[in-house]
Formats: sequence, C-alpha cells, structure tokens
Amino acid sequence: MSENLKLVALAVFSPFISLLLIAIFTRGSKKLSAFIAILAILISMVLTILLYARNFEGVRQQEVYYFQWLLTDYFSLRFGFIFDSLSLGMMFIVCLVSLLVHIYSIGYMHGDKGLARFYAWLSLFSWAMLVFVVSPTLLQAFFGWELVGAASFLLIGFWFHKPEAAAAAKKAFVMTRFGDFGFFVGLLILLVTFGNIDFMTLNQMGKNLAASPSLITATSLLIFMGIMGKSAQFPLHAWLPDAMEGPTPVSALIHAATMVAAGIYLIARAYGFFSASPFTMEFIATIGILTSFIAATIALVQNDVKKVMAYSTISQLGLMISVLGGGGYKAGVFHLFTHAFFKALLFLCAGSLIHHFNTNDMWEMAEKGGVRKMKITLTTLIIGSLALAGVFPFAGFFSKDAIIVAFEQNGKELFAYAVMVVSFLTAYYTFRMIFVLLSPEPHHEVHGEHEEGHEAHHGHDSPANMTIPLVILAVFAVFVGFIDTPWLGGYFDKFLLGKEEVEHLHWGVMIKSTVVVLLGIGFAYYQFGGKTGRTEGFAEKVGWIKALLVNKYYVDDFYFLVVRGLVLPFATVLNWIDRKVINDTGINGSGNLVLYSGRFLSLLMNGLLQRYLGTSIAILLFIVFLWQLI
Amino acid sequence: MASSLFSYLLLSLFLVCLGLIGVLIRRNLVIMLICIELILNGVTLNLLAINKFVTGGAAVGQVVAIFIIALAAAETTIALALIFLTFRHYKEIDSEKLNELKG
Repeated sequence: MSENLKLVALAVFSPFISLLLIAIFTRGSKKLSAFIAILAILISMVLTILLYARNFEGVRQQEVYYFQWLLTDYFSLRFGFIFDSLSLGMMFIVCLVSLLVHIYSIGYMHGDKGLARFYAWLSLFSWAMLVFVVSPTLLQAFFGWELVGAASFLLIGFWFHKPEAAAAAKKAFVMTRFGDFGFFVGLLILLVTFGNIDFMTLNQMGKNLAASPSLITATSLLIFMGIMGKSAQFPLHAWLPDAMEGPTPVSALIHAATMVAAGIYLIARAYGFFSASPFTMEFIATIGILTSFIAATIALVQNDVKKVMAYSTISQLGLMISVLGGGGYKAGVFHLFTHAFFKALLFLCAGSLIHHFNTNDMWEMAEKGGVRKMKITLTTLIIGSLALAGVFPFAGFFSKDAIIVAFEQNGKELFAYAVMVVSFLTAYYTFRMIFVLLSPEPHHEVHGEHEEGHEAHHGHDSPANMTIPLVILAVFAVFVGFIDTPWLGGYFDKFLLGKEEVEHLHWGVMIKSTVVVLLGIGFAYYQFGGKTGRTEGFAEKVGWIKALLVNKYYVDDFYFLVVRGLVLPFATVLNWIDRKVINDTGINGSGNLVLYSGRFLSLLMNGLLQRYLGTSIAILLFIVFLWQLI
Repeated sequence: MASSLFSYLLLSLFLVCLGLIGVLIRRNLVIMLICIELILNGVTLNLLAINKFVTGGAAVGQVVAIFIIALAAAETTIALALIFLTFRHYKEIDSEKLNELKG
C-alpha cells in the first residue's frame, strides 16, 4: 500500500472509530460524544488536506489497493481503496462539509436530549460516505451507498417522536430502496456475466468485445435507477423535500452536499461504463434536465425556506446528471464541487434563521422581523444565493456556464437553452426568498413601544459556532469558481483531467447567462422587493399553474393512488395467499400432517404385548413374501 | 412317509405355529412362556431333522440342539423370575392389563 493509500485508509476509518467509541462508551455524555466525533472528522479533514498538499497537481496515476474478500471459480469480490483526483476532490468536500456541520451542530442542536446519538449517526454517515467515495469496486460502492442510506434514514427520523419526521424517514428509505433494487440487480448481472465488478474493468467495458451493447445498456439503466433514487431524480425525487423534517445541519450535509451527490459521483466514477451505451447517456441527460425543470418550477411556490432549497437541490442535481449524460464530464463534476459548498452554506444559513425564528416559513420570518439584524447569517445567505443563482464572480456562475458550454460543444443546443430557462427560474426563486426575508417590517412601525423588548430579544445573530462555518463556506462559495478559469491557469482541468492546454473563456455564454440571471433577479425584485405582507409571484397568478405547482405535479398523489389502488390490493391478495395457502396449508398443514399421522401411529403403541408381537410377525411374513417375489 | 424329511418339517411347522398362535391369543404370561418354549422346540426339531436328512455326517445340528435346550432352560428361569416379579409388583399376570407402555 502506498503512502497516499495509507492516509486514505486512516481518513476513512477515523469516523468509524468515533462511531464505535460513542456507541460503546460515551453514549451518556453529550459533550464527550460531540468532542470525539468532531475530533475524528477533523483528523479525516487534516489527512485529506495532507493528501491534497502531496498531490496538488492532481493524481495522474490512479492508485488502487485491493484485498480479496470472496473468491470463487466464477467471480471474485474485492474491497479496497482507490485514490485519484476524483476521489480526492470528493473526499475534500465530504470532510470539509462534514466537519463544518459537526461544529455547527453544537450550536444548532444545543440542549437536544439525543445529542450523543446525533453525533454517532453523523460519524456513521461520514464513514459510510468515505467508504463509498474510495471504493474501487461496484460492490463496495453499493455497501457504502446503502450505509449512507441507512444513516440518512436515522438522521431524517432523528426527531422520531414527530410523526412527520418518522413518515419522512420511511418514505426516504422506501423510495431510495426502490431505486437500489435496480442497482442491485444490475450489479448482480454484471457480476454473473463478467465475474468482476471493479471500476477499472467496468470502464473498459465499451472496448470489451465480450460485452454486448444491449447488456451494457440494460445494466447501466438498472444502475441508473439506483442513482435516480439516491440523487432524487424524477420520478423518484419525492422523498428529498420530505427529508427536510430532519435537523437542518443534516439536510446541509446529507441532503444537499454529499449523499445526494453520491449518484453523480457514481456516474463520474463509472463514466467509461455509462458512456459505452449511447442510449443510457441520452436517457440520463433527458431525465436530468426534466428533473431540473420540474423541481425549479415547484420551488417557485414554496414558502418553507428549507423546501425552496430542497427543490433547488433536486434541480441542481438534475443539471449535473444531465450534463454528465450529455458528455460534459468535467462540467458535471465541477458543478458537483461548487454546488456542495454553496448549497451546504444555504442550508446552514436557513438553519441559523430557523434556529432564530423557530419557524420554517419565510413569510413568518419576515413578519417577526429582525432578519436584517442577523448580519453574518444574512450576508452569507446572500452570498450563497448569488452563487446558486450564478452571478459573476460567485462559484455557481462558472460551473453553470461550464454546463452550458459542455452542452453546446456536444451539439445539444436544446439542452443548453433548457439550462438557461432553469437558471432564470433558479435566480427568480432564490431571490424571491431573499426579497421576502428583507421586506420591511410593518409590525415594528405600528407598535413602536414594543420594539425595544422585541429587538432586545431578537436583535442578535446566532452563536459563533454556527456563524463561523457559514463564513468558511461563504469564502468557498465566492472563490471556488475561479479554479476553472484561465486566470488560475485552468487549474481544475489540470487537476481532474491532467489537461495542459488552458481553455479560453466563453464570453458569449457568460454574457447570455448573466443577462438571464439578472432578468430573474430583477423580476423577483419587481414582484417581491420592498413589499410587505404576502405577495403572489407570477407562477401563483394563473390558477391551474399554481394548483399544479403547489401540488408538486401530483407526483405524491400519483404515488398515493398507486399505493392505494395497486399495491395495497395486491398486498391484500398476497396476504391472503400467505395466510391461507402458505401458513394454513403449508406451515400448519405440515405440522398437522405430523400431528395426525402421529396420532394414527400412536394407535399401534397400545402397550399390548400381543399386538406388538403380532405386528412384528406380520411384517416379518411380509418381508419373507417380498423376498420370495424376488 | 414315516421317516421322511417332510414329515419332520411338517411337525416342526405345526409346533411353531401352535406356539405362535398361543403367544398371540393367550393373555396369561405363564401360558405365553410355555408357548414360546413350544416354538423353540419346533425350531430345535427342525435343526435335528435338517442335520439328519440334508447334511448328514457330522452331528452339528444335534450339538446346536443341545445348546438350545440348555439355553432354553436358562431363559425360562429368567422369564419365570420376571413373571414372578411382575406379579409381585402389579398383582397381575394378564398381558392385556399390563399396558403401561401405551402411547
């Protein structure tokens, strides 16, 4: 094992040790548990920075370490570690966001009874995510994939005494499991056919003559099904908005920056495999852009700040998936990186607001007033929103342009225009939220005498352990976009792909996208800026559109209908078969058979000497008779 | 006919069957024991006859017969002792009443 891989292994297992320590020893102590968890993820972070410093120019030669887990004549299953630019970048994001969320949670979860449990699950999540990121084989990736799903389930349902949280956790679990079913079937088919599911082999699949195109298409679509579940792509996206029932730091870590990005990471990791099937790529691109558009439109009418961000996450994930399907490998990965920073930032800002106002509704926050007093939260929220909307020079600007450029270079103008539309909507709904939060406060002007006490209570920002992570993420959200520009020598290209020539700027796209985004922001200002009280946006003015969007395109209702109309009756039939056929006839039947035959045979056991004797003699005679026949 | 193998075998068959039927239908343990002795005697007779008419020469059958008689004496003793103890314990030697093994 090389030096790099040793560091990777340490970074991966540090949170796992923390999980064990908390689960076994320090469950009783909140402070100690938090300390252990933070220390563990800090170790991972330091190791990742060390790795990054050692490989500042990117990892040109992929390093892999395997150990054999199961070896048969037909297939071999291996676990191990992979180390290349992609995994390094992802490790950096996971560790950084996780560390900041760990610190932020000290303030946000202050006084919660289950704090030790919370940190244990956070450690579980960090470990599982890192296992997924460094996995060199599809099977290990699947293990990590399911583990993060389990951690997500536990954290969404962290406040399980709330019925909505418990239901949301269940929904998230069932829906992603539905997708994972496809993933698993695809994995098994690959394993049975090729006897090996290492990513290196998979990525050679296109050149492998033994693999028929239809097989690759079928398996890649099955695996994409898992990605649709995990990365919340239409029509399996419905769990993510509900997952907002979990604590907000969890939403920032799992449902914005890392776990939901696992699907995108998987596509990038097995990019050779997916791109071996043109149909799958088309399918991925279409599903992605469709999801992006649908989620962006639903976000237009959401009043819960976390829901706005959840739909925005779905929308941005759709963009990444779409551009990966459209052949823009770098653009997809780049947007994954930048999005992780500014979306985690936005969620943590939302958490700060929610912590302060005790409500999720942006209108109520505006009515209560005092948003402007939370200087750090507000500033970082605006930075995050500018980055999300894609305003120069914030991170989202460069990565979104990279997406548009990638589509144009791959001859998919239609997709490029769709991205423009989505970015208009994104700018609009993001700044709708900002302008609503910034709206003047009538309450204070009318009741001047109450202002003092009110201000005294509300006129402060969240504690430092919550605002410092915001500032750190905001710095990234401002500057991380530049790494893909010629001003920094096309650093990201060099890091990820090892490309030496520097790509020039695409002024046309930059100007077009800036105009579109400014239009969106201006439009939001026109409808919400400076106004007080509830105002309706353009999407809410047309009745049927509003109904469509408020009801989230009736996807949930559709699922409800399917469950009520098909799944439950089918389950009833199966239940009947289970009870009557399998249980009564099969299980009880075989039991009864033994019981009654025993009762019948026990008639022979009458304790009468002569009967025994008679039976023996009869059998003896019968045997003799048979003997004669032979 | 008077001294053919067949007549001996017929007699031994008769004795065995008589013994078997006796064992099966009588309920008194002492009678059953007597019937078992009858079966043994039938078998012994069979051995003697086969030795005389089929193998000839060495008197192997006769030797076995003597052994059987000796063994039968010992076996009868044990069986009688058992019956005696049974009676002492249950005050009963009717096999139909002695059905504690009934399942």
